[in-house]
Order: sequence, then structure tokens, then C-alpha cells
Amino acid sequence: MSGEKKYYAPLTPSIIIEFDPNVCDGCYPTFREPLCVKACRMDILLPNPYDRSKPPILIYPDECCECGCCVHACPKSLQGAIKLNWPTHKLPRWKRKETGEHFRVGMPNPPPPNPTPPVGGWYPEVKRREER
Amino acid sequence: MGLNQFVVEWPYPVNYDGINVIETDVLVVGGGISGSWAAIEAARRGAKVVVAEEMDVFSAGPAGCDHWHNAFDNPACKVTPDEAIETMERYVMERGIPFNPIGRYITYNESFKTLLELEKLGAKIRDTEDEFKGAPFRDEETKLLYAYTYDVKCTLRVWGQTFRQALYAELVRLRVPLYGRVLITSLLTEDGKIGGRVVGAVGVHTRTGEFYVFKSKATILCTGSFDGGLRIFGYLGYGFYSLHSPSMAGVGHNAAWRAGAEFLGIDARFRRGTGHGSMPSYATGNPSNTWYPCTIVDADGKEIPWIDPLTMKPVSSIEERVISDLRGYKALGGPPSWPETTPISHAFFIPSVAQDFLERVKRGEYKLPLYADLPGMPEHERRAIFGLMVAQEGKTWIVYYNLTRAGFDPNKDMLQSYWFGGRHLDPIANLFTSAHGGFIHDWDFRTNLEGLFVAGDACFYGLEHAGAAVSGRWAGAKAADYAKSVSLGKIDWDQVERERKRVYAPTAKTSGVDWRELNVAICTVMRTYVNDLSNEEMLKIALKWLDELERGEAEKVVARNPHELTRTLETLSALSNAKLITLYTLERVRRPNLKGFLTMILKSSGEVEFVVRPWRWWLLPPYAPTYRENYERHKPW
Repeated sequence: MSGEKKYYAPLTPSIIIEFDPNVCDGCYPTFREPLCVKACRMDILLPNPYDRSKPPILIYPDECCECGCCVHACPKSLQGAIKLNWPTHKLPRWKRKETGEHFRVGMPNPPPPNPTPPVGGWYPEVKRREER
Repeated sequence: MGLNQFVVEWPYPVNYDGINVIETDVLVVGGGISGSWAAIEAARRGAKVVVAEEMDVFSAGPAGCDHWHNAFDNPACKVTPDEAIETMERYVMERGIPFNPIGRYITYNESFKTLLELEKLGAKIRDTEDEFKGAPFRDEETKLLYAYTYDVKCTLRVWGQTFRQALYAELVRLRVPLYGRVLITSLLTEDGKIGGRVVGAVGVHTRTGEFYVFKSKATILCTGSFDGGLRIFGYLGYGFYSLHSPSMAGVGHNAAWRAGAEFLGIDARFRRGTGHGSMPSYATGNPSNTWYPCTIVDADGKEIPWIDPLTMKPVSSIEERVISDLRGYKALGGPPSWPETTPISHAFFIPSVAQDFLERVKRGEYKLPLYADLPGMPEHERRAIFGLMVAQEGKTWIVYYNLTRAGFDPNKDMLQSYWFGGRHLDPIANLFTSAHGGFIHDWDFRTNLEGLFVAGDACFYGLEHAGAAVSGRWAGAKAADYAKSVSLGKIDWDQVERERKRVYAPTAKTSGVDWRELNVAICTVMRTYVNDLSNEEMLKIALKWLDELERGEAEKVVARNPHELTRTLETLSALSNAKLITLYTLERVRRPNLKGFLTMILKSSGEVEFVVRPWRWWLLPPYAPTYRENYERHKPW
């Protein structure tokens, strides 16, 4: 019943997951599938069906659970190959203590990025110790 | 062919006719924390083991760990496992708060040892860079970092993002076959009979639609908690959020229930849980969990008071929040009286922000909105909360990434807080709980079904990350031993065919109902009738409408590709689970004075049987009369 039948996925014009085509190479040819696709917990990223070295394609953006595993798994995450854009209605907000100014993620004219890395770095090394 | 703006060709070969048959000693259903540990332990014991996981095991399960809990076996911990279980029994279980005494006691004795095992696999658990040198939560010798109550030392702050990777690497190293993107939809039982020995499972590939038949001597259900129901009972819109793995949609629970496993149901009258539809969690300020012990201030910068849960007196300094001895009682000495309203946390009665706070807002004492005052915290706490906990626990790595890129600076900025005794201030969250159901198991993590084990959050009343790891290892060892003593059971191919027919029915239709529509319909019934105000009448009406959905719209669901089929199968499970929750809640409403554990079993006749297990059934025959004896008797190493 399947053989000749073609299957499609409808797309929605949403950029909850956004790729920079100048940075993302679809993990080609280093990995068998793009690591964001491998990591996606809802399986809503498809390897680019037309050119594997181009960014993956987002299907069913409404299913995104915002876990950010795709960004975390990306070998070029720190170069901005992939972004998770939280939905507009859920953008975190903050207030600067000294000045009382209000900010939110994704605002026009944002403050400069804070370059401080996490404690232990963005990707602490995971290395097995042989003694057991 | 170019990329059409609105449709893309499915890149995977679709084959709804394909069947793969796999034979194994141990089948692990679910490759998250408990499943990974189960598979590793079974493989180390020489069993042939495979993992079937709806996602890729690469990022399956919670994908991180916020705190490593219940490390009462830590030599530096002030509290022993026996003191801990006694306290939890007295102050937690006797108050009807969900708690798994078997899983917890075993965890109390194995938690820290398991963390050290994880470290051998490459996980980072120590402040080797000395970033926190001199901080009150750091042990200078071991470089371990503690949380909540720094003098008790039963909870650790860890680099949770490394945990998933370490386990995955070990599974690959051990060459455990990982069947990723395979959703297990049903367990197979001997002769296809409900209540019979579990002899395997069937599932469907979420990309190709191929069918999988696993034949196993032992099967371990590691499908997480029922919390995925939060997704299913939530209205999906742009961006749902679940603290737990989104694959925990209750499909595994439903499969084990239909096979006849004894289930401790979910009483929907007790709303609980975090999850669906809230602001990105931990990307907003709050005073608990990851953010403990962050100071919360009001719009004018006035500090929200903290309260000692035992004395109900205000806690005046940050030190008092984190050092139990400074609060004037010993963690385990017990209070003179215990108010019914006391909030209880798993790190033993830590202070919390005053629960009557919203009333005080109404009286004009405080002014909304609220903010997490990171700049006002001591530097090591600020760095621990935002730079370590938020950044490194795994699931919230993206929060650190997104916030710092957007210019958030914890030294200067106060993140808005929507948290208050639940999420009353969150504009989006409208929680429907479904947490804390699960399968009854013995001290070997065996269920009532021969050949079926359970671990992690699928256990009755659930287990957190350390408990998932410990129970996974334990169940993996027991399942491997059991598999040595039996041969493969006989698969009933009629049962396989029945399941195949059920699974693929949505792919044969060309018009009908989308799973989303059915999902929201289930959600509406549950939110309308099954909640903390439910009475018998409401619950009966709910059952009627759920039945009708099952016979009506659920029969008309259409799936146009394997991905939609996966979501459809989850939704159909959710519908069945919604009925379970409603049935269980109805039974609880009918027995208002019930003491003990009410469980439910699907009998081979198709009837649902309710069972009342007595208080402390886990210490009654055939089990030993004390926790310690049971632990020693069943310890697999």
C-alpha cells in the first residue's frame, strides 16, 4: 500500500526554530543526520530533502516543546547556526535594578549580549574514566 | 524539485507494510534515565538487551538533571537512609502525599553510589575549576557542591547536561542496540491474554511507519511519568512547554494497563504539577528548585518574606534558608506541632516564601509584579543559580543561552517572576495535572505481570532523577537475572495482527479528524468535568463524553504520514488514559474515608477491578518487616 504513494508534510510559516543558512551546513558530511534533527524530541526537524548540506526544515512548529535540545546539540551553536525563538507571547522580561529600565527577549534595540559563559563552560567535557 | 513554501516531501521511506522481528533477553521500553541505566546494567550482566525509544536515545528522557537528590548514602550526609525513610513515612506518607517507599528507600541507599558510577562514565559532578572556592555550599576536599540545606548534604548541584551524554556514550560503547524513533504501542502477553506473562512488545517507527515486534524474556517499562498527559490535556498552541520529556504521553502506561498491570491511578481532584503552556520554565525568576534560595522582591524592591515550615516563623537571612541548624531545629528532630498546611519539599522541610503572600498583596502590603533579585544575592549564590543551575542542568541550557544573548546580566538584572505557590501569576499556565499514577512493584521492581519490570517515573508515585537512575540499575539487574531463568515466551500472532490493525487504521483514511482536534476535545472534557471540584455526577458525565469520543471522533482520526500517526497514537492513548483517570477519580469520590492504597487492574474479562492495599503493604508478608531487611535481601550486588 505504500510503495508508489508520496507522503508530504505541511509547513507553517513560523520561525520558532531558525537557521542561519550562512553558518549551518546540515552537519554534512560529518554526521549521518543533522544533530539537531537527531536531538529533536518531537521529531519536527527534517534533514533538508533537497540538499543535505542546507539547513534542516521545520515542520509542525506548534509541536515544539522549547527544550532547546536542537540548539544544544548543534556543533555550530555558538556561531549562531540555529536559534530557538521562544513564542512571542512567552518572552521572558526583566528589570534593571539600578535604572528601573524594562527589557524583554527579542525587543527592538536590545542591550548588548552578555558574553559570560556558564560555570564549567558551554560544553563541559564528557570523558569516560577507564577504572571501574 | 525546489522547496515549496508550504509543503515538503517526506524524506524518509514510508513502509506501513514492513515488519521487523527482534529477539532479545531484555527489552527496555523507553531510553531515558531509568531506561539507559537498566540497559547498561543488564548488558554488563551479560544479558542481550535492546532499547526501544520514541525519540532518539541521544536526547531521550529529561535530557538533564537539576539536582541530584536523596544522597543519604553520601558519607558526608548528616541523615541516614533509615532516618530519612522514617521521616518521610511520618510526615509525608501519613499525610497522603504521594510517595513511593520502596523506590525511595532503595534510592536513599544507592543514590550517591550511582552518582559516582555516573562520574566514571564521564559526567561532571565536581567544581574542579574551583569557581566556588570558599562558598558555603562547597565541600573543599571533594569539591562537591550541595543544595538546599548545605549542612545536611543530601542534595547536590551537578552539571546535569553531561549526564545524558555520558549514559548515551556508555550504551554505544556496550553496543546495546538502540531502536530510536520506535514508539511502543502495546505489550504482548502469552496467548494474548490480559494478565498473562509479558513476552514482548510491538511498536511503530515514527519516521518510516514500519512495524516492530520485539520478543523478550523480560521487559522493563521505563516510560517516565504520566506527566505527558499535561501536554495531551493541554491546548496546543504555539510553544507548549513541559518540564518533562514530551514523549511521556502515557502510551507506555496505557500499554501496560491494557496488558493487566496493577496501576495506582491518578486522582484528578488533586491538582499538581508543572508543565504545559507556562512561561519557559526557569527562564522566569522563582524562589524554588533550580532557583532556590533566590530572593524575590516586589515592584518597589521590597523583599518577599520566607517562612520556616516547621515553626512557621519568618526566616530572616539567606543563611537561614540554606543552613538547617541556623533555623533553630534539627532537620530530623521533628517539630512540636505540624500544621496541616505545611508545604513540604523533598530536601526536607526547607523554607519557602510565605504562602499567604497573595492575600498580603490584596491588603496593599506588597506590589506586583515580582522579580528575582539575583543582583541582591551573594555572588556565589547568584553564580550558582544562574551560571550553574540554569546553565548546566541540561534542559535549561537554552535559557542561559537565550537570556544572555538577549543581554540579560544577572549582576544587574532582575528577572520577572510569575511564580507564587503554584503559578498563579503566570498568564499562560492553566494546569491540568495527571502526575503520580504508576505501576505497583515489589522490592525487585517487578510488576504483578510475570516478565514485566518497571523503573523510574513509571513506578507508582514516581521517582525523581536519582531514583530513576537507581531503580533503572536495580530493575536492569533483576530483569537480566530473571531472563537467565526463563526461555522466550510464545507470541500470539493474532494479538500482533489486532494491534497492527488498530495502529494503522488512521493511515487508511483520507478525510476525518486531525489529532489536534481530538486532543483539544479530550482536554475540554477533562477540564470541564474532572478536576478538584468533581462530584460523582460530573465524573459520570465525563465518562459518557469520553466514551462517545472514543466511539466517534477517535474512529475518524486521520494520519497523513508516520509523524502524524505517532501523534495520533499518543492522542488515542491519552483518550484511554483520560478514562482511566476519570474512573479512578470516581472510585475515590465514592470512598471518601478510604485508608490505604487504591489500585486498579484490568481483568481478562474486560472489567476493571479496584484493589485496596493496606497501609505499609510493602513491609507485610511476603516482604520482610523492615526497610533494611528488604533492601539487604533484594540488593542485586
